[in-house]
Amino acid sequence: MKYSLFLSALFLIFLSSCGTEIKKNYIINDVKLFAEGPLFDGPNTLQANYSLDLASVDPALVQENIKSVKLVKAQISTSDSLGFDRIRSLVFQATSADVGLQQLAVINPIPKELKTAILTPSSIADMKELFRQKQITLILDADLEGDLEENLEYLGNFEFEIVYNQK
Amino acid sequence: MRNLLFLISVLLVPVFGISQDAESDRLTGIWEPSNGKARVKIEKIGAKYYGKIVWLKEPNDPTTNQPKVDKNNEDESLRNTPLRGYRLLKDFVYKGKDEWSDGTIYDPENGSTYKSNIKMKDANTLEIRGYIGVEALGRTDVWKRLEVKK
Amino acid sequence: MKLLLNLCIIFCAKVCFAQIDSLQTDTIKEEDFSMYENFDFADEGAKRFCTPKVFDLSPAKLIWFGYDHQGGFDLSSDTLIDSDRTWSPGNSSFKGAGGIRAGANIPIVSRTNIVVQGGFNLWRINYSGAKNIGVNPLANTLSQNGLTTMGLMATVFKPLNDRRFIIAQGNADLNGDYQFNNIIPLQYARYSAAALYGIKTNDRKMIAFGISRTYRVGEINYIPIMLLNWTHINRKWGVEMLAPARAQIRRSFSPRKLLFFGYELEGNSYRILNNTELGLRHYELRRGELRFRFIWEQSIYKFIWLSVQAGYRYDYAFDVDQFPNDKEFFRGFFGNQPYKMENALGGTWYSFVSLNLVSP
Repeated sequence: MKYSLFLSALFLIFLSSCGTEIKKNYIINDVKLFAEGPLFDGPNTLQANYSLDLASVDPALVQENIKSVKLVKAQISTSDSLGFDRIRSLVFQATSADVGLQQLAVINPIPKELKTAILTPSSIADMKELFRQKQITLILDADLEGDLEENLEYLGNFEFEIVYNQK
Repeated sequence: MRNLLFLISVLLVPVFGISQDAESDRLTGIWEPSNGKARVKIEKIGAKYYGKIVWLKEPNDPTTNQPKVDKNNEDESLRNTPLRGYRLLKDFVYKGKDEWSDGTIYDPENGSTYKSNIKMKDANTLEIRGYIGVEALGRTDVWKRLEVKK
Repeated sequence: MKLLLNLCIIFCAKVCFAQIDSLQTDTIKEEDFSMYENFDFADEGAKRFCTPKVFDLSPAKLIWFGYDHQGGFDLSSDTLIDSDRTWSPGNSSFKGAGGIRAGANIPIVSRTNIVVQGGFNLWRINYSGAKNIGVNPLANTLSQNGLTTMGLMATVFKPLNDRRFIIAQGNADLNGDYQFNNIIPLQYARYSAAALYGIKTNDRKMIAFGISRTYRVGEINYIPIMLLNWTHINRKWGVEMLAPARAQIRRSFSPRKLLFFGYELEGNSYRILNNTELGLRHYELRRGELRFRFIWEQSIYKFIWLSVQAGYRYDYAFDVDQFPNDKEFFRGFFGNQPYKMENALGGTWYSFVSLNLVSP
């Protein structure tokens, strides 16, 4: 009896030290991805610097507790009247000063007459190292059909699924 | 006198800082691997260097007659990524003495990523080594700089 | 004065660091991608070189380790007559044969205009479950000592331009009825070599012709050779051939899953030194085998590949020669020097499983 109680207590201590695993979504809304014109036929790079705010997910969430981060939704929208008619493909990537560039989502080809493109997220890429940084760079490669004199600006909406330990 | 020396040293620090960037930025430009099948533009994003394919000798897949895509990517959901524009050199950091390291090189022919170092032999020649684990188990390719035809 | 100095310092630093910040702008100015058609080398005289690969070629193995196994077979030996005694003919059998095969082939120099690879290989054949070996000295030494090959090799691939190339290869093998604790002297090493000149017509085909000095049929011979690496435009089928040594058809299910069907001729000349009856008589076993097989190769983790071979081993040669004055002689295709002992080895199934570290 005493032995069983001891084992149970040990088990509970072990569980509490590991922490509970929690899954929450982190949403980036309306981030401006920008490329300065003039732009030319072929792949062009739009970028945005973004400061992560993990406290918005959970005030108790710290970077070291993150177990995995996956991109679950990537949506790019434009206010251009032509929509994405002149864009052959979009490739979404992210990087930061201390973490390598990761390819995260793609749409190729883009159906005509779209104002909002939904990219297919990577089923494998784990962004946990990126989410342990304070600032990340979002990169969108747009394959342009023909030349463009103006700047190119899109709005990105992204949703990430974060799995973390809460102690 | 001490203040004057201090002023001079502070003024010289940013000067050398600019020289360091100019030295590492020599990597940027258009380069061609030894087999001549592609041309790669190396550019800087943040503090790191990346190389993306800007031209392919055979831009279309002969079986589909469509622009080539990354069909050998291990990640099936990313196999539609077009090869033109693909960043196959990633995350290179300048280490001084004409060397950039800590990067990777991707081979779209088999979907494999290798660790990689770059050495600049002269202003128009790079030695790019891709390897597995240790540098001894790898291969070096010589890339030559391109410029607009005269 | 001090205040003025400090203000100067702050002002200068701010201007200079602002200039550094402008180099790391958040936006990248793009260039005209269509103009990359009109680029050429900055260095006049720079050349393009072909590579030793075609699309979908099976990956080159840097390091390998595996086990080869053959099923049961008969050994039928003819009379052996030497100056002072005679051994009767006989029929023996073995339950199986096999052993470790390991090696490495590492790039020593790996550049655009030359690739030099060096390596070694190690083969061991244990003959087990011997029956009716009687006084047959060959069967006895195979049963007691088995056969071992230890070899060094070097290969040079030299592209001359973006289409033409030369390949040269050399091997030195120490083959005999020894085990690792009683290696035979180096004077019994056997040397083989090959040289080819070829053309890589496109990324899917390379072909070369040459000549080789080889022991693959068990004894020294000089034969023409042909290299063909070819991939169909659909990228699913291909041929990898170095005839007459080996040839196979390749089916690519993906860059990491390959199936082959073909054959390989393997063999060498083995000094019989450790058999008490034959050891001092300058005998060599001329072993040649033809293996028809399927091979499945698959990446199991990044650059570590599993290779599984299964097929039929057909005996091409298993005769014994005696070297007069202990000097090798040349028979070739047209020589009529008699064998000292003629043997026939029964065919059997075989399998070979290996783990391989493959090259970029």
